[in-house]
Amino acid sequence: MNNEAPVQREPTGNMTPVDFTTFMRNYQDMVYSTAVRLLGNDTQAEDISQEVFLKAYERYDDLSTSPTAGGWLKTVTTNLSINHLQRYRKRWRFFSDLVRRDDDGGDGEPVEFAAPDSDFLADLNQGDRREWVERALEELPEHQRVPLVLYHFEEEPYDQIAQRLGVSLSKVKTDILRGRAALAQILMRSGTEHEALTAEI
Amino acid sequence: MARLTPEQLEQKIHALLQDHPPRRAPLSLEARVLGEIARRQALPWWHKSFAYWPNPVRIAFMVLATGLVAMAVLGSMQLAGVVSWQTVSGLFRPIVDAVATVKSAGTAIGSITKNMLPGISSQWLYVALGVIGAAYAMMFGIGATAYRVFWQRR
Repeated sequence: MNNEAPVQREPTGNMTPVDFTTFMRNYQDMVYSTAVRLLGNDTQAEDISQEVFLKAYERYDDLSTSPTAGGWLKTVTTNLSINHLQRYRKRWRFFSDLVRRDDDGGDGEPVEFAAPDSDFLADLNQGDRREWVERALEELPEHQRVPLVLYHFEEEPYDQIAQRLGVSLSKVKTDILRGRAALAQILMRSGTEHEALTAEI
Repeated sequence: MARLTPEQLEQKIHALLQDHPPRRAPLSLEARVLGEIARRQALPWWHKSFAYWPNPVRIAFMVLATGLVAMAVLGSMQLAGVVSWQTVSGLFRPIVDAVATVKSAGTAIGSITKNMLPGISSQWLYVALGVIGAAYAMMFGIGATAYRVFWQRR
């Protein structure tokens, strides 16, 4: 794993043609980050990133000078990641059971969630925060992580997420709400464990 | 300690995740992608999808496929009694004529060769066969060398 700070040079405006290796270096962190956040798995994210760049290579004549190449790559990465989850994870019952139990946490019902303390981020310094957030996202169940990532990272609206995942709007809202609470709980737990560990040392 | 409302939690999580920097892609990704591109480029055209076939082959394939489909459809219609055999054979008349022309040309070349062969000594025949064999071997050697020099080392 490469631990150096990410270098992201997303071009803006009209682009001049660059060779494919340079193009890939400009976007690989963005593509990989998008995939790994959705999939919660480094190896699968690398596989998806490879697939994305192979598709990009096939239409590189258009993409090399396109100012929207970054958006295209992000859309393809998101679609391939979600397709991967739908196709290969039979145990992931997001698109089967939850469609049948569509009324779970509907708009009319109050949704219960474990409300975290207001200072749940207080114990996290900037250095720890990055690693812990990544770990916390990986710990979330997929039916919470995927809509949460689409909403907060990709800033997609609820209805678009619901359409993309093929579930009801109320289901998406509930999963995101519970995902936020679960994320906060995991981060609080990480902070407590870190404090205990530091005290022991 | 105050508990967060759902709205406050949303704001906090959104701020936290928006500040979260992108992950650095593994160093192996670039090599994997470039390696796969090279592997795919090295594949012969018949191992690739239809979009990558050479234009003459694509055209020939389309013509052949269309002809086979037309023959199957017309054959089925003829068997079902929808169209008569005369109509079907009339449609294929140009093809049948073309095949007959090629056949008669082949017969003519064969008869000329048959008449000329007794007048040629067997020595000349062996020389001609040797030249043809040597030319074939030379072409094969040039092709193999060109492949190794210009293509395989890429």
